This record gives sequence, C-alpha cells and structure tokens, in this order.
Amino acid sequence: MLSPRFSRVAVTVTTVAILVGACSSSATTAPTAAPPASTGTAPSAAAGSTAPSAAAQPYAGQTVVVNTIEGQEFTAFKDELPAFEAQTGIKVSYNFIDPTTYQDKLPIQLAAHDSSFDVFFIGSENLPKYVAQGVVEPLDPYIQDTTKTPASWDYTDVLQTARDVCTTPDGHVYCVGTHLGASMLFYNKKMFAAAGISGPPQSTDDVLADALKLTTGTQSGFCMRGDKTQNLLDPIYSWGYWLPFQNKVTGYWFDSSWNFMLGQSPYANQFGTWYNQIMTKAAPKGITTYLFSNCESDLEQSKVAMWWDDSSFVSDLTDPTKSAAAADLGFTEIPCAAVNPQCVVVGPWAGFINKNSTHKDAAWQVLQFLTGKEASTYAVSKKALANPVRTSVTQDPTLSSAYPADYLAAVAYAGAHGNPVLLPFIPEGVAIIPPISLGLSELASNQGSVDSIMATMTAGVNAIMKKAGYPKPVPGVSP
Amino acid sequence: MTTATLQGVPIRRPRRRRRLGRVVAVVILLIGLLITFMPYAWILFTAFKLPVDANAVPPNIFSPYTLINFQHLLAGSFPGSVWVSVVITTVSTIPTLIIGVPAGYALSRGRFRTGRLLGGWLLFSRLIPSVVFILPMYLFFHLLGLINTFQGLALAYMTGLLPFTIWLMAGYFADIPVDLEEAARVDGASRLQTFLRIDLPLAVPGIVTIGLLVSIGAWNEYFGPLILGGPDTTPATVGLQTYVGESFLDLGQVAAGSLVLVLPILILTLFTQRGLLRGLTAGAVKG
Amino acid sequence: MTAEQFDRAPSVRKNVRGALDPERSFLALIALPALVVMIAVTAIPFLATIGLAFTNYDPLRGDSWSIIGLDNFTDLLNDPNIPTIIWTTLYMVTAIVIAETIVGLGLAVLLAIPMRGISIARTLFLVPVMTAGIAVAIVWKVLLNPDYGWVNYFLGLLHLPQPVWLGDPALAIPSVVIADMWTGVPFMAILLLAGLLGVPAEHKEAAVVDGASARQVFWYIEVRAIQPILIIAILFRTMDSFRKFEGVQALTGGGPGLASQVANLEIYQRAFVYDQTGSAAALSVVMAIIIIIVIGLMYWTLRRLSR
Repeated sequence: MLSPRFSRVAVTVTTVAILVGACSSSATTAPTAAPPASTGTAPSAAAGSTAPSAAAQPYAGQTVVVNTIEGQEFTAFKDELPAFEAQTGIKVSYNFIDPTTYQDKLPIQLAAHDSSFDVFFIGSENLPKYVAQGVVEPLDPYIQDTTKTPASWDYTDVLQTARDVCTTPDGHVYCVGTHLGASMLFYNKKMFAAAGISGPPQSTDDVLADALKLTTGTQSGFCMRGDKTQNLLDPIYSWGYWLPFQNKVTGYWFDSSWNFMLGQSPYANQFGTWYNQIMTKAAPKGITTYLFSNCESDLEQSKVAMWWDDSSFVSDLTDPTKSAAAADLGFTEIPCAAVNPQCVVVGPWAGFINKNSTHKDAAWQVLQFLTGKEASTYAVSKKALANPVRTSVTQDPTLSSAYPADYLAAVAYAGAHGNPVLLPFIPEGVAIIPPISLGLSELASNQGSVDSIMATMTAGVNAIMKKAGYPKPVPGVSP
Repeated sequence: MTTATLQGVPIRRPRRRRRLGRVVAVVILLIGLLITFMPYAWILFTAFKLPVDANAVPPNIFSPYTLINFQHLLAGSFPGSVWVSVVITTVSTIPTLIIGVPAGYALSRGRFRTGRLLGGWLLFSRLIPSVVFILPMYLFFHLLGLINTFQGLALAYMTGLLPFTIWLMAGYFADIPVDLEEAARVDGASRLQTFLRIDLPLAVPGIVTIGLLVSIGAWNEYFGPLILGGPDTTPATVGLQTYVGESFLDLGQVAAGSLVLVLPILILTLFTQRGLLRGLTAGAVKG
Repeated sequence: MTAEQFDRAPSVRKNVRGALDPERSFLALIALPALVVMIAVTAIPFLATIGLAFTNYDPLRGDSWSIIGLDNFTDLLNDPNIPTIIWTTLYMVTAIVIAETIVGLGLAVLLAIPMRGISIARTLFLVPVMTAGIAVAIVWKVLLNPDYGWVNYFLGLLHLPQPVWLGDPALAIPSVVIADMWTGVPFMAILLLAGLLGVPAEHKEAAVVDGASARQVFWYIEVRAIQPILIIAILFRTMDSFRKFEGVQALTGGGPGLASQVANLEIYQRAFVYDQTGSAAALSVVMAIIIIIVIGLMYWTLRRLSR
C-alpha cells in the first residue's frame, strides 16, 4: 500500500532535484581519489607495525569516512593519518562534527541506513541501542581473523572495563575504546587553602560543606553542568555514593525487579536534597544554563573552586595557555562510600563500524589503527589523551611525564573502583533521560519540593519503562 | 516628500513644546540605537581581545588588541564553512528566483486553480514550523541521496525562500499596468514574449531587491543545514555553533566568528538599504 | 479577470472555464514549477508527518514499525508536561507579539518624524532585521550572562537590580522575548513606517484644519490608515514566533525545568534526541492545529476590530 505512493513521491522529488541540480552544476564536491599528499615520504615508524605488510596494500584506493567530534585524542589522531594513508593506500576522510548535532543526528543517519560514513566514535553507552537497531558491525570476527588483524595489535591489551562496555551479554564485540572517561573531582588548591580547608573532600557531605564554605560574593564553591541538554552527565557521577551497584546491565539504575533505584527511599531524598542544596547555594548564578564549557572556563579562571566532570578535561585544565589556574588545580576521586565499592562511573568513548559501510575491511584497518598502541601513545605524548584504555600505554612513561601525579593516582583509583554502566545496558537506556533531566533542572532552580520533584521523575521513568515492556528478563542477568 | 508638506502645517501647539518633543524623540531614538548596537559593539570589541580579557567586567578598552582570534579561526574549519555559505547562498538564490519570479507574476495576473492552490499553500507553509517538516524530509532526502549535497540544501532552503519570493514578486508585478501588456499583444507578441520583454525588464529592480533579501535569508539559514547538511555542506551559521560556539570557551573566537558571519550582511544592508526597505515593505503594503 | 480582456478568442473563453483558456494555461504553466517544488518540500513532508503520528516508528525500531492508531495522541493527553509546554508556547508568542507591536509602533512613529539624519537612523534599525538568528542567540546568551554579561554590567552602573536572566525560571521567557525584540521591534517598525509615510499629507492637514489635536491625528488618521499593514505585521510576527527555534534552543535550551520549553523544542528533542519519532509527529500535528486556530481567530478578530 505504501510503496506505490512512495515511488511517486520519489519521482516527484527526483524531478525537482534534477531541476535544482541543473542550476547548481559542480556544486557538490566529487570524491576524487586524489593521492594522499604524503605519498613518497617514508612511512613513519608509528604506522609501521599495525597495518599489514606495506607492499601488499590490499585496500589501496578505498576511501574510509570517519566521523567524530573535535578535541583531545580525536584531534591528535588526525596528525597520524598521512603516514597511515601512505602505508596502506587507504584514503581517510576524517570529519569533526559538532557534539550536539552529532549525538542528535547519528541515530537517524543509522536508522536511515546511511552508508556515507564507515567508522564513527561515540560514547560506548549508546551500544545497546545500536545493537538493537542492527546498525553496527560486530567486530569479533575481524579481531579473530589473523589476516585482518596482526597479533601485535593485541585486543587483550585493552583494559577489561573498556572491553566489557563494548561486549554484549551474548559475547559479541561491537566497538573498541579509545579513552576511559572517569568521573573526577577537579579542585583549586589555592582557593581551598584560602578558605582554610586542608585537603580535598572525602565524601559527598564534605563536597557540600566545602562548597558552601568556598562560596562568597565573588566566587562559587562548586560547578556541574546544569543546562538541560547536558545536565544528566555530571549528577550521575555522584549517584554512586548513595546507590549500590547491582549488575553489569542495570548498574545502579534499576534493581533486579526494574525499580528505578534513585526514586526509592531514602536515596531519592538524600540525593535530591544534596543536589538541590549544592546547585542553588554553592553553584554559579545561572547554573541551569551551564554547559561543560562554562564550568571549565570558570574553574580555569578561579571563579569556581570545584568541578565534578569527566577526567579527560585534565588536558585542557593543566594547559597554561588555556587555563589561568593550571598550576593551582588538584585532581581527586572521592573515596567510595561503604554502600558501593564500585562508585566511580566510567564512560569510555569507542569506535564503531557502520553496518551499512560498503568497505568494512578497509574501515576495520582504519579503526584498528586509530585504536592501536601507536596512535594512543602519540596522542598521550601530545597531552591529548589522559586516560588511555590500553594497559601498555598506561604503563608507558610518556603518560606519567605528561600528567600530574595526583591525576594519575585518581585514575588508578577509578580503575579499581569503576562502574562501567553509564546508562542502563538496554536499548531504552537513552529513552529514560527526559524525565530525569527535567527533574534535575527543577531541583537546580528550586521549582518545587525535593520529594515532589523526585516523585515526578520516578513516575516519568516508570512510565517509559512500562511502555517499553519492562519488567522483562535481560540476557546475562538473572532477576 | 509627503512629510515635507506636513512641516508647513501650523499645528496648534506652542513651538517650545514641539521642540521639547523633538528632543525627547531624538533621545529615545539614540537609546534605541545604543541598545541595537550593543551586540555589535560586543562582537567588535571581543573579537579583537585576548581570551584572558574577553570576559573582563567591566569591559576594558585599554587591554591589548590582537588578531589572534582570527588566526585561530583561519586555522580551523570555519573558513571552509564560510566558503560553503557563499556557494549555498548562490545555488539556492538563483533557482529560487528562476522558479519564484514567474510564479509571482502568475499570481499577480488573474485567478486560476493552480494559482489559488499555490497561494493557499504558501500561506500554510509559512504557518507550520520547519521542525515539523524536517524529519520526513531527512528520510526522503536520504532515500534520494540528497543529504550533504548542495542540491539538497538548495531544495530545503526553498521551503522558506520560495513563498517569500513569490509573495513579494506578486506585489511588484501588480504595479506593472496591464495596458503595457495589451499594447505588446496588439503588436503580435506571444504571451511568453510579452512576459519576457515587457514585464520582466520592468521588474528588474524588484528582482534585484528580492534577490538580495533571498540571499540574506539563505546566508542566515540555520536549521535546514543543521539537519540536512554534512561535513562538506556546513555553512558558517552552523559552523559558528559547531566549531566555535559549542564550547563557548573562547569568547574571542565566538566574537570573531560572529563578525565574519554578520559583517557581509551589515555592509550589504547599509549599501542597499533603500531597495531593501522597499522590498521588505512592498509585500506588506500590498498584501 | 483583467487578463481576459485581451483574450483573442472570446468564444473559447466563453465555453471553457480554465482548462483550455490560453491565458490561464500560460499562467498555470509558469506557476507550475513553483507549485511542484512547494509540494515536494512542504506538502509531502507534512503529509508524511501526519502519517508518522499514527505509527510507532522511531529510529530505534528501524524497519519493524507498525500503525498504532491514536496511541501517540492519547499518550500526549496523559503526559502532564504537555499542557505546560503548550501554555509556555502561547505565553512566549503572546509576549513577543504584544511587546513588539507596541514598541515597534512607537519606534515607527519616531522614525516617521521628519528631521535631519532620520534616514540614517532608519537604515541603522534595518541592520538587526538582517542579522543571522543564530548569531543573535549566541551573542545574547553572552550578553545576558549574570557574571560577565554586559546587560547586568550596565544595569549595575545604573543601580538597577541585576537579575539572573537565563537561570531564573520566571525570567527565562522574558529573556527569550528580549532577545527576540532586538530583531522583531525594528522589523515591525520598518513595516509600519512604510505605512505611516504613505498616509497622504492632505488627510492630516485636513484634520488639523478641522481642529484635531496631534494625538487625535495619530489615532484617527495615521493608525487607521496603517491598520491593514498592522494586521498583516501582527499575523506575520505571530507565525514567526510559533516557528521560533534556535532563539530558544541556543539561549536557554528550554530550561530551567520546563520554564522555556516551547513546543518546537519539545518536538525537536522528541524526534532527534530521544528517538520518539511517532510522538514528535503527533505533537507536530497538534501544534499545527493550534497554530491554525490561533491565526484564524486572530485574523477574524482583527478584521472585525478594524471595521
């Protein structure tokens, strides 16, 4: 019934397109297979060992499109590409896309079976959704195939946590991590000393007490993203100090009968009160419009004393050309409370291969290169990769010379107490965000009592879960 | 003209009060202009400041001036997106005019079913927010391979630009007397020849003005390319948000990028203001 | 009608209504490309949106979607946030239209005063109208920042209160309105100015001679004369306010809480952020109906008032 109408639509639109196309000749950039600029120069040692024998170049002439966001290791990786292109003959089109647009557009692109890109990097928490959609390529066949993956690439070198988040309960691998973003507290030692506080906070209660003490007319004690489009990410870092970790699928989000844990008593009131207090009494004015960049900028200019966010920001924060407070900053993990020894949320970013890619083998070579030891070590040496996922890279002296000791100690603590379930490992993981985000925004702007806001939030999450057919059994977890 | 004659009219009001009224009017206008130009002042001021001074309160006019923000902009992806803006503005304005000008003429001359349908639909399409169109459009465009192409974006831009062009052109053509056409017809010109040789040349000033307004509209377009564009077709509006605005870290760069986005339009507006004023108001006055 | 006057074949014109009439077919022919494009880029996507509203399609489900009848609409009815969002949308639209009409009319009257340099002022007020909406939103977000924004700095100089513009739920929509007024007021003023300058001087002179005061001349001659433009300008501004997207998205993101969550933003987020395509389409349909009703009522009321 749908198809004849649809084809008519297609014909109409195509006619128009041709009409327009005629008026805009040569407007599109034709993907010409120009030889890489660096052809002829000797391939660097860095690219040498990962790619298969240079002489063979089995994928020469293919163009692999990589989509990612700008910043940190992804910017550094770009420097490494010419050598890789010379080595393999693969042309890499490496695109940076605005983070917000990227997150919003990717699901539709994938759902529309868009084949215009081959490799993409994004937070690994999106994996369950992509697997349910059937839009990402399983990578274990490639990893196990020695003709496609040399032994030197060594998947077991990747930290267990980073491998876990890329593996579905049935054992298939769908992504390879590049960095292990861990929640971390950044604080300004100079401001702490001026307020007479001797060391970093040891509990969430300390965070609130210190933040209040550090808040004056000209500075604020604490910062966390409060803009409704980003406000989920930071508060969930603090939840691990109240909520016990359940399992690798639901994390601390749901208990075994799919009750939203944060909505349960006493967690709802404990967290709700803490968040409401710290955001309304110790955070900068206008916190509900703060993006991560506002917090970062305020911390760098000593306008706030603490910022709780992703550890990857260490690169910018310690860069004296960007951060006026670079020398004053300290890095810490708040020790886990007794209720939950796995309290530090980690959210690795990882590379995926688009299932609709038309040259997956070449795409795998590119992904393999970008997640290999050499690319990571290079990014670390550029101070662009603060928490690599490869054991060999974390032990490399390059890392310890690039980053401060207290930062590395915090990362080590995060590694030992990591909670890899950033979002519930179910396809509906993303779908439960709206009511939570809304509730957080209301808590941060005093729009109602803590109990009523938390109750509305819980009702919202429950409604979404019920509509999605929960409670239902999930593979790998016994209720 | 009309106002000059009014000046001669003795309005029954003491002269002093009139002069006082003038002064008040001038003061209010000046305050209005100050508010109007505050954002531009911020852009201009911040674009030439070091990042350290960009956030300074109060704004410090004596802190050093620098071109570093523009150097950073040039080094990034922003220049490419400015070029994309130039291309997309061109390839959307020209077809819009080619399709829209004849349609405007048709709408201004006589009533016929296609015209009524078109007129009704023009109004309706202006009623409905573009958010409503964009998702199915994405799916159709994807099916036809139009995502991340200039053809696709040009087509998408027409959702807003075409109704605007037709509406305003109809106003212009309505001013051209039908008698002129009749004279040409009597001399044996065909219907098409009449349109091409009589009406079109007379409408050239209007076409130029509306072409300018359409170009400005295309240059400022944000939502369409945000969704339907791609890495090769990111215009400066989206680029500003993508490459500089998103992080808001470096206000100097935000300002420098905004300046690049705003300046061409500002200059164009100042140079062509008479035509633009007429173009903008024509549709409303006629409507 | 006029075109038929010089139709060479009156007999044809008499018995065929439209189809074979060469004048009509010529006009239809040259209007056809525009009609085809408009159908392709607006009518078809709009019909598709209506269709989607009755399905459970979402990117997550991929190809295994089905028709679910009115479920999306009943879900909207049961969603406690939807009335707030529609109310916020109407609040924003009303505030924008009222504020811009009043201030815009005032500005137009000032700009119509004949004095030296007034044409420069008219040009300068044209500039904001032409400025890209996204640049306006980005710059106003910085200007309204409570810590380093210029707005609060100047308010402080004048010893006025310095509110937390974008972060205060009560001020979120007013902030959006202020940023919108920056382009909307000059737009309104320029449209109305054209009307004011077009009022024949003789009418005003006649009224003055009859003893009318300046205020009476303004209300009974000038405002009366520009009424048609005023109505169109108000309707256009209303439609544009309903379409407003980047001005809210970039400025407040809809927050804090639901304080500035307008329908467009909600539709966008449902469709693109939270993968609820069917529900976004249903809300689109509801909003389209609301907009048509509002515009229809306004048109009807304004028409009656102006008689």
